[in-house]
Amino acid sequence: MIDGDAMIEVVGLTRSFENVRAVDGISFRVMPGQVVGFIGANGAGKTTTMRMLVTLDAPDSGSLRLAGWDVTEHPEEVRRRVGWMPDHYGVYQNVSVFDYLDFYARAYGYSGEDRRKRVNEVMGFADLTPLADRPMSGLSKGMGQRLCFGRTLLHDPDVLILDEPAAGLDPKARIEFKNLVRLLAEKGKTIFISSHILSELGEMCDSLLFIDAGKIVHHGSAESLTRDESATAVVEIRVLGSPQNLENWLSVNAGWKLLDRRRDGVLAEFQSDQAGDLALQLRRLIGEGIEVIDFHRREKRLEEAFVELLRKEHQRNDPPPFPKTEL
Amino acid sequence: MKKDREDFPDLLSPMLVKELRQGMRTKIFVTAFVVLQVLMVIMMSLNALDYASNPDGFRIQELNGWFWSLCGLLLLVVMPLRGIVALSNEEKAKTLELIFLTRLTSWRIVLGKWASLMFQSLLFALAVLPYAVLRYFFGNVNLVDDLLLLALMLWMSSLITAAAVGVSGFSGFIKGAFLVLGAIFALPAGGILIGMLYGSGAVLGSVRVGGTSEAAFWILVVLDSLIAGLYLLELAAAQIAPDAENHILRKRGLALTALVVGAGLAFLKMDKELAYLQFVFSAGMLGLCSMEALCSRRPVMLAHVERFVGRGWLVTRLGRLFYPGAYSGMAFTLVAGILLLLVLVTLPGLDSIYVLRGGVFILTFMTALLTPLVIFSLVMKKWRQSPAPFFIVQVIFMVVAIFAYASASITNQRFPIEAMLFFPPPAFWILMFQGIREEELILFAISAGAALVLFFSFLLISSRPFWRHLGEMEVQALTRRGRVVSLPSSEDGARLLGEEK
Repeated sequence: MIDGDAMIEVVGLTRSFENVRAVDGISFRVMPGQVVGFIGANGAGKTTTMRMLVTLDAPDSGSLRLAGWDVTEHPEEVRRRVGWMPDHYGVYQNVSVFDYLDFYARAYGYSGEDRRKRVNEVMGFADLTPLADRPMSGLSKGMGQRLCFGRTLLHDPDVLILDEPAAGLDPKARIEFKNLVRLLAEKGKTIFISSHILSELGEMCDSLLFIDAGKIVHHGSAESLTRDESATAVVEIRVLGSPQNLENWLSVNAGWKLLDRRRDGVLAEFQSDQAGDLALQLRRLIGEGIEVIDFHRREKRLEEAFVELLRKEHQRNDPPPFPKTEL
Repeated sequence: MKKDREDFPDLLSPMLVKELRQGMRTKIFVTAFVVLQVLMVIMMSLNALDYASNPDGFRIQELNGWFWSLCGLLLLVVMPLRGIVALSNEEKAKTLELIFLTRLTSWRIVLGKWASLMFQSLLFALAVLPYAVLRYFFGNVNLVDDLLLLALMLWMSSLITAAAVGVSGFSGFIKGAFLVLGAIFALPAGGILIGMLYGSGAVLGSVRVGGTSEAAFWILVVLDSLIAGLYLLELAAAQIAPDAENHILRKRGLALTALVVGAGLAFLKMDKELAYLQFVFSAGMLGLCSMEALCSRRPVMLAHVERFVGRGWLVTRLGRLFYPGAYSGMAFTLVAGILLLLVLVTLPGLDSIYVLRGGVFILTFMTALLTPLVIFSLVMKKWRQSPAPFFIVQVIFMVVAIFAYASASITNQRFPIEAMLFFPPPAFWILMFQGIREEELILFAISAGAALVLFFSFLLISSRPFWRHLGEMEVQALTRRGRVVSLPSSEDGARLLGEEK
């Protein structure tokens, strides 16, 4: 691969199943060393796209390149450079953790001392060494995910494609997993990861790719999505004593709209074009004798941003309803 | 990657190593192994006591019967049947895709599974060897015959295991049919074998064809076993392979190899019985290929087409016989039928009545195979290339034929086979049960031939979009190989391929 080239390049990718268009002409690029989150609802086309990237499915049209190799024309080269972690991993009966990794190491072409060394390295990295002799069928969900992740790393791939790797993990296992991904990113691996846990993806990823109904609806950093570019700010205000005075004040002051009443305050929306207006409002509020103990602009959470994005996208795409006609 | 071979498993396929480790830890293997040892010890002890109390009245045949029955049960039933879930277990656990991303191909996966089961069967065979030698002390035991018999059992076990692994990737319906057919045909055959062994271990001498040189016969048996075994494993590999892999060439190639051997034997006129046997075997293989092809739903992909284009006009055209899907299968069935008829007429010393009978068999069988495709092309198109409806139609033909024959037998009358002249497909089954006069055979040959022409004409017309699309893919494949500068319009596809001589 030439330096500066994308590690993953998808152009006009399309895939249909029977009458359903699962992936509808999507295009994107992932640069080397980037961690990119792939977000979408169930059935949005995430897994289909990922399966095509790892040569397990073929596109109807469009092109896919991974590490400079065309995925459909050179699947063997791609398989050598990609590690795939599906959303489910198969459990072998009567196979220990070590035997499982040993089998895959052999299947990837390692032999003798090289193989033992590689298996031990991976077990060490994924913290599997204490589990080496445990049967696969006796592993917890978190341990199993770690084993599956370890298998993905066995052949030292340049690109990791991880489909819902944190699904079903408890909070501790999620943190462990996030740390592993960070470590790999520091080592220069390109990571393409899908998940439903958007807040975690926001922390972990350099950029996010949103897919809905087979189409990319947003590509950018988490900040670019959560940043509120409208002139509206949602503000949470808490006061000492009854919030009634505060509510009265809001109702008589221009630009404010009450959104929600709280036990010790309110959630309100403030409309203004000027950045400093909000500070002015706070000064006026205190000047009116209202005992403000908390005044902060609430940031949009990633999940909310995602839902809003989808809503806007659907509004843009949905045709206006048919006019009702009398029969 | 550095090849630093340090342990014995490094010399073996990764799949074989994994399957052996996994398989030898299963409950069924451990239980079967322990039970075998216990039964053998009990059997030997009882016979030793019997021998000690009455050496003159001791009958070694009884011990032989028990001994070989136990070996037969383990090697021909228990161990091979483990293969029937070999691939479905992997599919159920969704582990196959992860293996495909390594260097292992579908063929190596299947071969590893089969080899692992055979290794385990070999372990059983080795485990019974001490008891086989113990029998020697009771007298009247030929050790060489015993070892040959054990080898014969292992050979049969390898074929049955290949068949079990072969169907393991198919649906429960096909597996069920395999088990039912196995119970109908294999168990009586096994019973006969055990019966033969009960009296004497010298089984090899009894398996001979009159007038056939023994060496040539066994060479042919080994060759055909190899062809059948490879075919069955290819069948399994094709089931699990990604769509981009095409296993049709190997499968149909194996069946055609069997036919070529048959044609060679017919041409050389060495041994007519061997030629007949080989002809029947190759007809069976081609029949299996055709059956599988006519209910195949696999799509033709550019990767398949690329293998045949750019190698001249003839190879491109011949390639059309080796693509997945029912329409390529239909073309293959036609060519296979014609080749079989050609070999049939060259078989040495065969009476014309048998040639005619064989010809009618082939023609009616072809019509029977094509009938589901014709029916489901006209109505219920979604069933067109599904195995279950295909076999249901065949079973209906068979049941109708058996019912007609049985009712004729009950009333002590000959079934009026001429009634089948208007619709010859089920006649194949009637011909299996009942003799037929020469003039009727000629009428059937004409009727089945006409039906075939009609069926093929209809299917060729209804499959025109497929052939047109295939022509476009061939042009596209040529473009990707850099043989054509620009992609022509679809109408120009066939013309351009014609110029690519």
